[in-house]
Amino acid sequence: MKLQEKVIQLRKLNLELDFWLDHLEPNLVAAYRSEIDEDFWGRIVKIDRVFGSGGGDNYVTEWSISFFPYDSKRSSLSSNRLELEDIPYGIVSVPFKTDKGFKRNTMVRLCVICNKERAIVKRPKTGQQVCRECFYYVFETEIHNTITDNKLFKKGDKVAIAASGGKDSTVLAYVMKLLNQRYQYGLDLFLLSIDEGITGYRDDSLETVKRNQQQYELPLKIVSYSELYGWSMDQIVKEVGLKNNCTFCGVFRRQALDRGAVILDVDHIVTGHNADDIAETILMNILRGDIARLPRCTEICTTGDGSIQRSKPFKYTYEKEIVMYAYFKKLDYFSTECVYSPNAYRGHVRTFIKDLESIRPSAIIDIIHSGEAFEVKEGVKLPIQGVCKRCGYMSSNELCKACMLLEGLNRGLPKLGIGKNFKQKE
Amino acid sequence: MCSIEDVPNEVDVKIKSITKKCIKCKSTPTILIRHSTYCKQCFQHAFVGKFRKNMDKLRSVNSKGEKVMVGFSGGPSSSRAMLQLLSDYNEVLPNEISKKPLFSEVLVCHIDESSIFGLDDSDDHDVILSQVEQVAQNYNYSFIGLQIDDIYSPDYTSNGSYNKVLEVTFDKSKQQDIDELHAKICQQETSTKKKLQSLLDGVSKFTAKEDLAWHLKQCLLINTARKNGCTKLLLGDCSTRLSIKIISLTSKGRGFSLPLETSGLNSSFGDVTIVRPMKDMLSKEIGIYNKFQGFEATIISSLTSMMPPKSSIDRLTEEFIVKLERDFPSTVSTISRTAAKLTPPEFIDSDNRCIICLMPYQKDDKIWQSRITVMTTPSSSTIVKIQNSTSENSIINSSTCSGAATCCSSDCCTSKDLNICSLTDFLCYACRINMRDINSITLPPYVSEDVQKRSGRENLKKSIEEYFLNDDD
Repeated sequence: MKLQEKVIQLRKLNLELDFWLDHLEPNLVAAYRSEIDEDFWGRIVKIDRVFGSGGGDNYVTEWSISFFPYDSKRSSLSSNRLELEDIPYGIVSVPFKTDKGFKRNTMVRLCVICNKERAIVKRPKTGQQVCRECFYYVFETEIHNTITDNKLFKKGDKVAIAASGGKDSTVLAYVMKLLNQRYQYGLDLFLLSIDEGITGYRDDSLETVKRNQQQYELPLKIVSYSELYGWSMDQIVKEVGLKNNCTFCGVFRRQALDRGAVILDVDHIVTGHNADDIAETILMNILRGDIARLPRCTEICTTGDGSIQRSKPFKYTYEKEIVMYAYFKKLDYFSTECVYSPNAYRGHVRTFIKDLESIRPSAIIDIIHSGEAFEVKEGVKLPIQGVCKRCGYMSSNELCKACMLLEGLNRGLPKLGIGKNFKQKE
Repeated sequence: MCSIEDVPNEVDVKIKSITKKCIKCKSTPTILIRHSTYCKQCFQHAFVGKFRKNMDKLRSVNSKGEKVMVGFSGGPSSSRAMLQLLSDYNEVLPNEISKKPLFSEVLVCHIDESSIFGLDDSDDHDVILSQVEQVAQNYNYSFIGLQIDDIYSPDYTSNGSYNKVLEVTFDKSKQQDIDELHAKICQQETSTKKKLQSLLDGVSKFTAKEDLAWHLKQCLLINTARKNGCTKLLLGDCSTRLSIKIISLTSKGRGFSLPLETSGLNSSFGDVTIVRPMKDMLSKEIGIYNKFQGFEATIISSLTSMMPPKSSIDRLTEEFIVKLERDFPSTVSTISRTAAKLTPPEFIDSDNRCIICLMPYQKDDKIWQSRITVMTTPSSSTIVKIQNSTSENSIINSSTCSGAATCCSSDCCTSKDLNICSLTDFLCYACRINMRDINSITLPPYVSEDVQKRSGRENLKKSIEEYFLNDDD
């Protein structure tokens, strides 16, 4: 019996491994004799959660653990049980074959970036397996690169973070504060929230923003639709119904953010639009033939004439990675869809992008790369940017969209300004 | 995220009374195209009109009798309809003495792709090929039948006898630097079929496979047209196909070359202009026309035919657009119109043309990519290489490559393999992304010929670079 001889040789080496061999030998020898203990070999690896005082610990059990003589703290193992964190580092590979001839290796993977820590996530953007610290590093550095390469801020700028309490803006507030300190941007940061007046959605998410204000120690300003326009979203929906209400919300929010920024006296607003949002908008603009917005929607920084700058530091950041970041950093955010659900057409596009991403992780960045390369032909008629006669806000018509919608509401003609064939009444 | 004006306008289209009339002659309609109803005669008239309009554009550009090549897929497709339309258009009746045909000669080229999916041994295969040839002969057009693996023959290089291939390998275990490729130019004594097989076997994803297959096919078509003295290459892409292509090209990061790749008139290849006279017809219209003409259906399969939508980006996009068009019947035409308003890249020369897809690319996208997708940390070992990727890499390249390149230019070591260190510099963004899905592939001589030429030029440039004047100076 060669195996047993080897074990005896091994024992003679005095490696103090006896405890391990004692434990491993019977099972291996039995297997060589074709006396397979199916109960033992049938289970390769299993993660058990053991609850005790001070919370639960994850244990890995079953036979694959029997092959580890020590844990990562160099203390010897005597049972088939190992805490998840204590699995020794280094790639341990166990090739195996199933009945169907399917081969694969089970490995404890190392982070491909640092090659030291154990990988805990597969990065959605690249498919790389990375550890927690490296994930934080690349995530934050990409945002920092985006900010510096595009020269988004100057030292001493007052910057408002558009905060909704959702994952994007919560992570944005956290990362902006962190990068501002780490790289000494010298920015004065504020939180700016819009209260659209949607019961069961915004009231709850604003509570999150208020908690964020304390956690991040940033001044907060909330402006509400009812105070700006005299209409809350709940009232608007009562008037116009569920169709097209997102038009009101979107148009009003854009202006409300600018007005809030004026009240705060800031130079710049940053929003939490992520790479998925931008890819979606690029495709939406192609699908609905909006040639004017197609080149504009990939701009990282937009400025109306004289008005406040607006930028998207998350332009190249994947939504999934934002969620991951919030999860690992245990950030406090609010995650409920708006009660006035989004429309179907954009839903198709969203599903399409998710499917693309599953075929090829880089697809979202690839779409943005395409979008950035688009240039409109000379001679194509584009709407001319002017100024709204009533409120002075930039507009491509005589009256800006917000004023138009507002007039409709106030005059009891809520359909005014919606759809293709609207007429502007004097 | 809520957004404004999401709903396209068609949703508001009201269904009018059923008693509709043909929009042209007010007789009883039989055909519904998007929102318009037609009778058979008016439909055919309008259909032919769309083709003539696009062909008339060519007439004004060049009125001399030119030779033209038609890319014919063989199926019951738009290229089948195009052959008929072209024949009608180019015909000069005996009583029209003053009229000259637009084209002096029409060649029909069919590329047999069945070896890609291993169908070339099946019994139907020869039957299909002879049917395809028969179609061309019915019009008295000369027929050129090619195999997709012919692209591996030295005939399709610019000097006509270059026979070396480019072997590219990608080491997946090195996850840190996902764009590092090993490439060498070498002689392979295998059949063209085997070489093509090694290309297909070496690609792990269908998206990249379909892309590469198309690039080979396109290059084969252009070269065949060129060799036969044709100044125009007519392709049958219809508006449905083009709009799918617009979205899938966008999704694959080909936005820069998209206006060229989907245009009705692409003259970026110099002597051969690609024309798409069917670009304004929906696949539905072509189907109806073919049915009226009684064209028989021959099934020509493609790489992802009968596969689930998620098997490749092209296949997924097809599913997406076709479904969307069903619910919103202006989807296809809106997409095509939007893309037609985009301007194609201006400066195209041999230095900014991708060696695989032959499309122009942006030079600085590599730096952009490394900034927004960070792959390393300062503590990890390869940091120096990434951070100074532009400068460092070029130094490495010049020191290792220059010797080999100058040596090879003097033809003293033709038997030796030439290692290429900077292959990614010659690839466009999207082709670089494709390379992430390969293990080891063999690219045809047209690629290796270009690589050899370009790396020689790059080295030349490096030796005189310090004398170049910069705008910043």
